[in-house]
Amino acid sequence: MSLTSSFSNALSGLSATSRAAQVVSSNIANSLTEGYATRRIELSSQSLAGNGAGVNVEGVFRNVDVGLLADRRVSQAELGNASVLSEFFGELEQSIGIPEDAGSLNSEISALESALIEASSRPDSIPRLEAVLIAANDVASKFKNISDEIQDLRMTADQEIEAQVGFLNDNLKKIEDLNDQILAQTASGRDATALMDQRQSMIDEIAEIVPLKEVARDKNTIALFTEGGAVLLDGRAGEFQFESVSTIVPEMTLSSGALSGISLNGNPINTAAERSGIQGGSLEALFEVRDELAVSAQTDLDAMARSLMERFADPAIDNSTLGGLFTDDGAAFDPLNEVALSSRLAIDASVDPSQGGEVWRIRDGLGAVTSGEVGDASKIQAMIDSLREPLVPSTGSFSTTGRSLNDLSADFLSSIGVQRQSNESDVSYISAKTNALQSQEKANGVDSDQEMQKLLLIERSYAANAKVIQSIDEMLDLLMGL
Amino acid sequence: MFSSFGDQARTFMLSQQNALLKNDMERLSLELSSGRVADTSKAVRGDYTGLSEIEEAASALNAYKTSNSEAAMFVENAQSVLGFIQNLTGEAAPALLMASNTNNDQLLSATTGDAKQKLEAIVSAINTQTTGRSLFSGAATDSAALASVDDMLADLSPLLAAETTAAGAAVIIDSWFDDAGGGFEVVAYQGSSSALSPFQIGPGREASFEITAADPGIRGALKGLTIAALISEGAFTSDQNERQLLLKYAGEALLTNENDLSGLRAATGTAESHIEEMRVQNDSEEYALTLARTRILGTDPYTAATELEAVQIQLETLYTVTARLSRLNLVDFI
Repeated sequence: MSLTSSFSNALSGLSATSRAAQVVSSNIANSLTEGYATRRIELSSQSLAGNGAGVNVEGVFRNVDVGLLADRRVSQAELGNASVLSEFFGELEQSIGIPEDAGSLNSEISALESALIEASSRPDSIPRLEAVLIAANDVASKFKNISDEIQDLRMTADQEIEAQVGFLNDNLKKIEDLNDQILAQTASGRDATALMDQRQSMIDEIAEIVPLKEVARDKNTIALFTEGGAVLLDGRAGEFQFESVSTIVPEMTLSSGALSGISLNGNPINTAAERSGIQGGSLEALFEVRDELAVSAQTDLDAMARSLMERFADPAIDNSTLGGLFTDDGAAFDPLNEVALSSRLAIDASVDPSQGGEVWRIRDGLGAVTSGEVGDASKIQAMIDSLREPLVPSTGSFSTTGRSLNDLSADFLSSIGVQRQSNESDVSYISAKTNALQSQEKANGVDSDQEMQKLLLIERSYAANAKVIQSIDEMLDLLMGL
Repeated sequence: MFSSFGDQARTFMLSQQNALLKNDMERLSLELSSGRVADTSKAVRGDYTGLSEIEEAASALNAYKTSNSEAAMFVENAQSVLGFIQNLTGEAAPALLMASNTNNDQLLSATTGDAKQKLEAIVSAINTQTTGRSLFSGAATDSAALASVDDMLADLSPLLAAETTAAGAAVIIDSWFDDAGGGFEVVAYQGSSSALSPFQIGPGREASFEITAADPGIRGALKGLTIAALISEGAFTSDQNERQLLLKYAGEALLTNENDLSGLRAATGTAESHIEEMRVQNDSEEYALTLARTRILGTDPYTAATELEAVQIQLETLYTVTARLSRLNLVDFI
């Protein structure tokens, strides 16, 4: 009878509107939740034996702009990459120090020069020669400090890689679990949207580490790939292997085997290649810091230390056959042993009273047996001239024109500084892009005004359906009352 | 398709703007109060070569100023000693010549006694130290330039014991003073044969002071007065004639030495003026470096103040907009 069918129509309307109200309440409740995708309810008219018969709830769907999501994740990975590099250069620049700061490499070298000038004015003054010794020691310690800092940065990168790999592995496992649960829920026709929200935020957490591509599979499951083509999750989650070390010294490199590389499911990934499986995110940047950038900074620093040693090893300056004022931990310079030279710079024992030497040897020559004429500043002057002489550095990535020692250290600092500025402008550009994308994503989020409007409509619709039921009830009563 | 605008988007944008403006305010207030850029690295765009050269030059300049003032004091003192010597020899020469012409015993002994005192004064002046350094010892600034007058006379007088003529005595005395490896160089002069290293008075500039007590001009002055001192000590007491001849020889030696002494003083004067010239240049160089540094790192306070004002107004506008927008929602109107 058409009255009963109207009854069931009105009932379906009631259930649809109450379901819609549930969706609205869920949206409003989650209006502040990060990573919540606005729910919308899909309604369609029910068809029963060819006749229209009430309303059918197709389901509750999440409002996700897939393209925007993918773009934002890739942008986050780029940001992670650029931030790691920019932070490395910033820390290194700070460790070297800018020229006007006391304690910077440039100011220590200038201080040595000034101490030599003052000693040349009063070569008879022991306090002034002692000041030269102190200034020289300061230069040697500064080189060591910078070398230590570079290795610390490598160590930090290594530990950070371990942390990120662990995090990545854990998250991929959890995403795999969620995938399975979502599959089960969807297959049995239940609502899996909350689990899908969770899965989305899990993936967002690892988006910075490697740039991801999310590919939809059936029944609301997904597969994950990196932009470089590595398979992170397809049915089963992939697992990364990496081993960190407890200390890092300059001689330890990836190629020497002392440092670990990264592998996925047992297959090694070449992090130095143009296109590697993990390129583009913060993980790749950390490998770049540990294996390329810090290593080349160390090489340049060692080349500078060599230039310093060679300038003072001129026989015209000292009488000795040894290395000169600056030694490689007491020995002369050995070209085969240049790695980490900057961490081993030491002042020759013959001028250091604490090691049994005499400070007047700075004036009279390292091999001098007795003190010479106290008014003779010729060797000190030769040291000053040598510091200032434009010499071409034998190693390192410096230019092939002659540079004084101070200019050489400015070149070193500038090569770091210029890279840092370029990276920082990358960071600010990518930041702006990421913010814009995030902002657009949030624009697709819950709009409480919209939900309130919908609620008004839902209220009216519910009231109307209830009224229909009431009317049909009265009509049936009328019929029964005959 | 319905169109909506998420709540979070608006708050996100407003909070980003807020953070940006606050950052700008921080930076501008720092620049305004300190007069220089807040981020040095950005100001030089990562290239520190210019800045490092300025800093190196400034630091070296400080050392040169010390060096310059020490050189100035040294040379000034040397100049006054030379002047002192020239004054005394200028007085002694005519006195000796006059005494050599008169046949007055008392005048003779008074004049030679006075000459001996002058000699002692000159030797002591030559041996003065400036801040612990001998002026005329060459590179051996830790030892006195000359031995005492008594030591010199003690070495010289036995050599004259056998002489009977003034001419013979003059030959011995000349040879003692002037021969390479002679008595003067062995006994009297105790300094170094190498000159003092040049003073570094400015970047790339040096001033040399190479006068030692062994210089001919000083030796000549000492020789003349030493002859008179020997006579005062008792040489040729028996022979008045020879004494007078020797005294005449001494006076003439002093007179001919005047040119050499003047030459020494002129050379010292040149060094003094060179040092002073560099001192002035060092000062103006320092000023130029300060200007150069300001050009790279300084900020214009007017610009900084104007920008700060603008940012403040922007921030206030942002706050007003935030307040207004937060009042606009449908819930209040239902």
